[in-house]
Amino acid sequence: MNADIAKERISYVARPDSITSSEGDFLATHVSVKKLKVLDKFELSPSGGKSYTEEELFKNYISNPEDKHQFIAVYGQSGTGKSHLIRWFEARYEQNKPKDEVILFIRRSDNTLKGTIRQLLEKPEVQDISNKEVYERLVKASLSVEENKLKDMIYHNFIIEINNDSDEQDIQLTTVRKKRLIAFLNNEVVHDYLMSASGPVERMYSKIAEHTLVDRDTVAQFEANDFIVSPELYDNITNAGADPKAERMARELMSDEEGPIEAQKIVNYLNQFVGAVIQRCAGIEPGDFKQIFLDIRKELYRLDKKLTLFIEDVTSFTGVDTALLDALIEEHTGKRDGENLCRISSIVGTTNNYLQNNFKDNHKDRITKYIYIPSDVLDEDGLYEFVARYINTMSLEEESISDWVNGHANPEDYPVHDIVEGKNWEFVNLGYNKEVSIYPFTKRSILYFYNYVLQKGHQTPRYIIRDIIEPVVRDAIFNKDSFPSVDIDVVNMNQTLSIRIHSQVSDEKTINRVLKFMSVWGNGKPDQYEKNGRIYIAGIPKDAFDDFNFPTLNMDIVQAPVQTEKHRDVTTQPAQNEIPETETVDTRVPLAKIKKLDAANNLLIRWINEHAIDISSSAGASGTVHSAIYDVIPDYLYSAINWQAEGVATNNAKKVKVSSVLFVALEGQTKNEGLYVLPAKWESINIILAFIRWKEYGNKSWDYPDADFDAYLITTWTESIKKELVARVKEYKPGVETRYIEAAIAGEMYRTILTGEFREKSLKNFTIKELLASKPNKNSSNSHSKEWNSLLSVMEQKNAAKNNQETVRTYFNIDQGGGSGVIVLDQISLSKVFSKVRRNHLVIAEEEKQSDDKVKLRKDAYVFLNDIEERVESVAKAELELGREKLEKIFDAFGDDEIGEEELAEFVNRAKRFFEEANKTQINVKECRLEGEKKLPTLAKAISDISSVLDEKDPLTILMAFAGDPIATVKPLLEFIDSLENEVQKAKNQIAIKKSGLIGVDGVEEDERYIEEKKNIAEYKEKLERMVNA
Amino acid sequence: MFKEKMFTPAIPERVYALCKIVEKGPITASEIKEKMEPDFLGNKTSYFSDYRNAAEELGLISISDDLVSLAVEDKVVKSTDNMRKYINQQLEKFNSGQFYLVTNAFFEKGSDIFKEDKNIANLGPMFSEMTGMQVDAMAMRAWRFWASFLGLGYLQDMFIIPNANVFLKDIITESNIEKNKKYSISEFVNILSPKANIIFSDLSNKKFNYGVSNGLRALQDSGFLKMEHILDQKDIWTLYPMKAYSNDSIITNITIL
Repeated sequence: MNADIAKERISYVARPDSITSSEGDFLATHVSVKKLKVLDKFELSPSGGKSYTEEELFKNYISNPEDKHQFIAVYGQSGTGKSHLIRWFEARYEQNKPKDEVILFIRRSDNTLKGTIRQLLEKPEVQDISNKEVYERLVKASLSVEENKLKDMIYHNFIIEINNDSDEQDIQLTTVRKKRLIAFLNNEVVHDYLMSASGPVERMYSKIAEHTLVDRDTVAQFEANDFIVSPELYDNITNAGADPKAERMARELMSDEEGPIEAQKIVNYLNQFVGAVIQRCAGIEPGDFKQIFLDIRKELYRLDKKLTLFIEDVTSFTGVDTALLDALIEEHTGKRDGENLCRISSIVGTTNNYLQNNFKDNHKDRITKYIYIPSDVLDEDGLYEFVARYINTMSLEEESISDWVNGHANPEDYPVHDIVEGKNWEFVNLGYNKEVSIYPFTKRSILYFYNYVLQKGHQTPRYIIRDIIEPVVRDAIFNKDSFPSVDIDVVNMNQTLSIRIHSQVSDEKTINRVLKFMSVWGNGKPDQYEKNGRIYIAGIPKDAFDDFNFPTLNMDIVQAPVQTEKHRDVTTQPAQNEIPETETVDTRVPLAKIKKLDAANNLLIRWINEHAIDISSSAGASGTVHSAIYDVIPDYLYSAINWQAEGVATNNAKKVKVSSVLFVALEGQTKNEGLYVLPAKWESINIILAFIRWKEYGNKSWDYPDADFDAYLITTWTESIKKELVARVKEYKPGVETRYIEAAIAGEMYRTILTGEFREKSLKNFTIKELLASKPNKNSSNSHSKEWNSLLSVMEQKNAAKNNQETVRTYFNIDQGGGSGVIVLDQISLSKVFSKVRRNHLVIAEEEKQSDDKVKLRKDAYVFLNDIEERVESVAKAELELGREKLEKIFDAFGDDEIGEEELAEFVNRAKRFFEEANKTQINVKECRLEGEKKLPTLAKAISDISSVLDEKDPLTILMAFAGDPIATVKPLLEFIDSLENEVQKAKNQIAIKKSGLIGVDGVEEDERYIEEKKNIAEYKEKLERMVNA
Repeated sequence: MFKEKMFTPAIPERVYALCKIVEKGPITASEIKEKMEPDFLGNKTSYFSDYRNAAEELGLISISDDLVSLAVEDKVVKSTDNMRKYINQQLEKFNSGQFYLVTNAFFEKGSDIFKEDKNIANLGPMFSEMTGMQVDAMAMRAWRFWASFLGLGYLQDMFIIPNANVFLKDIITESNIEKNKKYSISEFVNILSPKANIIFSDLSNKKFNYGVSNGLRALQDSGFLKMEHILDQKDIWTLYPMKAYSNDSIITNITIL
């Protein structure tokens, strides 16, 4: 290569559209095509059959040895080189044409309708045709219509066509559907959508307006995609207040199943009007174009000339294609309007689709021959030659090429540039001992780009120029220090090579360059050998490394290969499905999995470059990495690290593992934090990929090729991060140890008190046994206050109490991999924490609370405790009020506020005596007894428990006093008091009644039954008084 | 656990917890049991004797008249790291025990272990054949805890990935190998061998097996030691070949840094 010249020439030479390059550059870059097919009948992609070289086809058909009317269609996928071939045919024919032959070559570089007509009229042979002035006026009448107006004209002309469709077209729509379609097209939102830059109107506009830049293969037609209505578009249509008919159609087109079918029907219908609309908008009448051709043929006949017409691309005739084809197909043997036409031989380029869909059957039937250019028209050598010729041409001054062309462009005279760059690179022989250096390519790199960079269907000359030659050459001549900087995903990167480079080069940018160079330009192996006195690294001459200032690398010394390169036909390999040969490839690993790894690798390489990554999606490459970070690595680290031996309770490690906080996250990861952040470095990629390979290649085992190294990598990595990860798991925040177990213990102690499992008035007797031994309170009912029971309900919500209890029970268990139900306590740790909580009366200082712990299950311990703490004061107060109320009743009944067992016994006895006396005196009362009469000590204790805290302010002390539910205990006494009071009242009432039957001393009341007695008493009284007074 | 058969419940952390209790002073076995497995927990069975026996076998505790005392210096049980280092020094004493033989067979198996069942408990028959001693699933389950704890490999679910870097570091640290002195590889092996034969499997061929090679390479990566291949040296040992790590698997000299 001569970079100085190439810098100037690359823009002119490396043009994907061959027609735009100069004649010299065209010929200098032309590679003979050898795999052409000739058919009598159209086939979309013919396979098999004989292949012909372009020269054979030229001689047999294009040069028209039988001098007959013929119409040859040259077709192939977009970019396969149809234009190139037709141009070559034209150039070839130009050198050998008979004297009476007029060659008309219609380019598509000016592929508007008027541009095409202009090209026809510019031919010297047709200067005297009839009506020429009319035609010229037609072409020169520039469209003074503004772009937007013209587009609108196109759009509305379709509506006009539908409105005036009298069902004469092949494809018809019902009246109702036509009305809907008109309403749909008249909708403002739909109008704007179809008029957008990538919409159908733009495509058609490009065929009418001059000086537009569009894809040369653009077909001015509607496509089904134009009419697929997305939910967003539908919303926009309805929100804008659509006509019901338009809305109905939009809804139909939005349907997943029917939508595409409906869209295709509309497209087929509308495309019938494309020709008429384009012609009308271009200001050409339907018959004009056909007439021009007929006039040209008439004129040539008059001059005794014959016409060979090369049309680079018939798609440029959209709108008049039918008329054009009619004109071309018409043979000269027939007469038209009584006038003679010249013989015409037409060679017309078209794409597969256009030929299939836009050529009517009667046209196809009259095509003499079909020449098919397969997509993979170049074989391996052809591919190298193609690249070599471009590099050579851009390295030559234009004059050198012109001289060669002017000297009949003989291959033996083909100029070869003086090599400035790439003297020691690979050469390609172009015949006649013309050796051309392919710097900055190697053959391997050309194949690599062809197979792995070009998309399927893009492995055509156009894309080889656009996506391989131009970017790589530009990279080498304008960006040499960073070469290769082109964005290439290395397929199935050789891990050993990667590691070997990283061990010798520290600069990440240089590493990427070298790795890419050795993997794409070289064979991707970490090998080095000497052959014929030259050193080869990864199959590339060392000089090539020096040319780009790559660092000196030491690779594994191996024997030089006996055969340097295995020649293959690039087209015979399943290009997109083959993995480049590296030593890591093993047939045991399915191709799909290798591709999965490659995709993940590429994503991670981007991560290294951008220091940011989004792996939130669980699909595709993101999903592969997501699975490693969210599942595989956490699972591995959870089992690989001896958490207990590292002083981390299994309970804690497990809580962290299941939390949203990852053990390990990626630097710049968009979602979820990690305790350890894997830096965006190559070493991290190796670790992640090792885990992915374990899962994908080994199906969750290390039984796959090179797993031994992966296993080494991840275990060594584990040791290197263990200390930091363990420290992070132990922490709540940097430097602050997690202490959720204290909150959990406090919460559990509260729970045992509130549920009455612990009924002591002091924590003194609250031991580890009380904490851990499960002895649920079986009482289904209690006499606690509403507030107390409400707190119990809160604690039960979402299993909070149970979960907290489980935390406490398992935290100090030294478990054996979770495989046993037996609890073995780490007694020393347990005692230490428990004593602290007990000593602090279950209080955790506000500043020590870790209520915002990011690990939810640890935070839950604080939430649970907080739920209790924020209620205990009101619970204690309510409970105390209730107790006080009950106690006062008892005190009132006893007439004393110091009630012990003795007082209770006395009370019970007095009650008994009351009932005995009542019985004796025949007072009718119902005897009642104190329930649990024999449990007076319990009763006394309950009264004492309550009375002991009547003046207490500490909620915990109050709660403990009421833990045993003393109100429930005194309840029988209260009932007894109530009953007793009731019966006493009854006795009083009866006595009163009895009393009312007696005559009092004052003689107020009289009772017949005691008259005699009263008389006697009065008599004896009188006697006694007399005796005394005597 | 080490002298003869292995028992799953005798896990290292329990042995350590027991030692920490005993560290505070002699105590009866029943008192320890009451502390570690109190009746009120309602356990259906007791593991106590398993880990007490393991602690006793390892010489961490001594039992006399039911009174359990710490049989080592306090610093041995100051941390799990210290206890591990101590135990790693003791393993050669149990070279006819199940743990020793299985460990040795495991290292001898090299990277071929990756071709075996992922659940180590299912490898009893294979290790029985290799060791000539009956090894059941329970023994293998027990083995994994100690293999992991002693730094012989990394537990992944029910599988152990061989990488003896922690064990080797313990043995080297506790040996009389001088820092920054270049030892010939044979000298190095000879110094380690009395304490590390449990993981060496191919001494006669002067080859380090996969697990040992992983350990040495990991220690080199962490900057703990440097392995060299000095071309004119004839005393040569070979690491497990791993091209991705280095194209040279030969070691002639080792320096502890």
